[in-house]
Amino acid sequence: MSQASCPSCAAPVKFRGASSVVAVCAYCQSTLLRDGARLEDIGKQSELLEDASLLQLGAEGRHRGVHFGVIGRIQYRYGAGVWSEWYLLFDDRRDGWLSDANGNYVITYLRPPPEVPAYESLKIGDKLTFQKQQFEVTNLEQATVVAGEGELPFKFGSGWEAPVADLRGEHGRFATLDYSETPVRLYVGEQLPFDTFGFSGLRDPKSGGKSTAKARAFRCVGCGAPLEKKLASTEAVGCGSCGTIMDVTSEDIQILSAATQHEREVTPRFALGSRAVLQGAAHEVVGYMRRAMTADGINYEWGEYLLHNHEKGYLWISEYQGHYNLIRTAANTPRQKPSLGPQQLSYLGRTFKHFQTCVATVTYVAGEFNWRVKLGDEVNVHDYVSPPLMLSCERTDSELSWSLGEYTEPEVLWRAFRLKGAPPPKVGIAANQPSPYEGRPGRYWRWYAVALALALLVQIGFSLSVDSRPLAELRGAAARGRPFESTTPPFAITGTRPRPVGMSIKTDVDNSWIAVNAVLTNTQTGDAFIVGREIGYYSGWDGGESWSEGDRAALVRFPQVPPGTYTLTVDIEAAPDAQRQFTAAVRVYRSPPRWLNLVLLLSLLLIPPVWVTIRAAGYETKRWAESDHAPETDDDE
Amino acid sequence: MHRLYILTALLSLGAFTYGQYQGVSLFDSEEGVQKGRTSSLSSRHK
Repeated sequence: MSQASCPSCAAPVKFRGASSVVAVCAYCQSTLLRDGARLEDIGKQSELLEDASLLQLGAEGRHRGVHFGVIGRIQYRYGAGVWSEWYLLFDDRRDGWLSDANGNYVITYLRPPPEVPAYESLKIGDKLTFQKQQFEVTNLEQATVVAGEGELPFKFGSGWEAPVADLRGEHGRFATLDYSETPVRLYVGEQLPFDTFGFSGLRDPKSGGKSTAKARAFRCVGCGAPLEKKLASTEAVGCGSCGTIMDVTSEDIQILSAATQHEREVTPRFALGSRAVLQGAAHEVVGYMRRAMTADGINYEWGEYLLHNHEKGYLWISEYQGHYNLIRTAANTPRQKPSLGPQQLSYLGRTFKHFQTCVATVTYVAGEFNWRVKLGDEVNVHDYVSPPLMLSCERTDSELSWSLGEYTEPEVLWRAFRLKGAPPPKVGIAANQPSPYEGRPGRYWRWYAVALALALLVQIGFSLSVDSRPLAELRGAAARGRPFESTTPPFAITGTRPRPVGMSIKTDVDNSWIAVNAVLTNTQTGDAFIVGREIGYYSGWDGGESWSEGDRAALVRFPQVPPGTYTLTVDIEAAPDAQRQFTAAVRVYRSPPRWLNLVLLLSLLLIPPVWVTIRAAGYETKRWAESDHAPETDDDE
Repeated sequence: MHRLYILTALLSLGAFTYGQYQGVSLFDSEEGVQKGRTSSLSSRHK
């Protein structure tokens, strides 16, 4: 560290970073350029604008295990607001930058200058590769330096313009291309949650100081109603009384949109200024806006609440027909997945399907916003769903941002805001509303598969346990007027309980019929099972085509035949007009278990899975009927 | 609800197993089959 005296006010000025070129005197705001051992005063810095950042010079933190201190800062203004780049000095002598924009923290390091397209040729959505990682251009801004403080590694001044391109990659990777110098400066790093830095020495947002977020009262330029700017990061305030939207970034309040919006009464359900603990942190409702889109000639309008927490940043609640989402900026860029149907994205290990694309237009604004919102502002919105989550891509010519919404039951919000009464009834099915049938068809089908396997096991087990060899067999021939009758020697049907016994009758009857009577007689009890079958089979040619009717065989099943000793008696009679003798063979055997029982069981057990699957599909059909991928257009009847 | 289904499936499987063990079938038809005593049989065949 080197120390010198400010040439302007003689206050001590320290240079801790070896790369630090400029230091801003903390006492007189002179910008001091280091030139060897000499300090040159290159002019006074402007005042920094108030912001809601918790960081300040002297704060400390860690990134990937290495401790750093915050030694400088440059504050930039861009089209929609301001952000700060905090200059970091690490214990291992590296330096880096921590960007703090509306509670999103991105840490980056200067990398060797890359071959990049000219700034003018860059477009939102362009893909660039640095250090073997792909990035997508998400923001193109002509940033202007507002002011700086502390020590910094390059010469700068208020009003200095920097064309900047922000790029995002997978897994929170982030890159910035600073075109203000040649060669272009590339910074590569990652976006991380606030908590991961283990900050100390942070500014107390409630304490005094230059960048304190203290409420500022003023009167509406349109109607004179008293208004308040509570957050330092607020860029625009919409008057809830008359609808005038004002730029409040300076003392000289400018009108962004005139009071043309409030021809109707709009009462936000979550009042401006009300507080709720959401996602583990206390948030305050600071703004409410309504946006609208038109699809198939129908205007759809929804509400969006902007909430703020000093550590977590901004949170949105969207509200549409009784459905609510909690929405935050997505840190990562989703990855596109190959798909034959609607476009699919991969994010957080889930697959999101494209739901709809629309142009959302701001139709109502009340309260504070961290960008200069105006009535009529338009943005292209692409929604992708993976219930209960929804990824939304909002795109303008200069910015592409991703946000992640989570469907939230209204009762949760009503409890969090301590609202009285019941939430409004839900209308229809929201794009990312979790299905009450989610996972149910799968569960039912899995259990059906288990039942199917077990039933098959039982069936096959019983079938294999049956000895299907014939117990008795009788074969005889009968001709016209010459019947056949015979009885087998006694044979045993073993076992301990009545069992099904089968009897097959096979004949060679042709263009005639024979009557077969068979009797299975228990020789011990005299009980008999008697069956008579007339078996006929006819065939021939008619008009050049062959025909046949009847059957040459028959099967009989005696369901409950007690064990014992039996004889089989068979009586065969030929038809009175039979032209020749016909043979019949009667065979008795143990009947295996019938498959019909299995079919019946599996058919009955099939009903619940099929029913649940139909219901689940019906739910999804209703959901997707509102999307760009509705299977068919609903005609008004 | 799927627990009710599991219970139903298990009970049905039990009934099915018992039915197969007993050799009964809901669709067993004894059409054309008579039960009797040998005396009636002999009279029929006389």
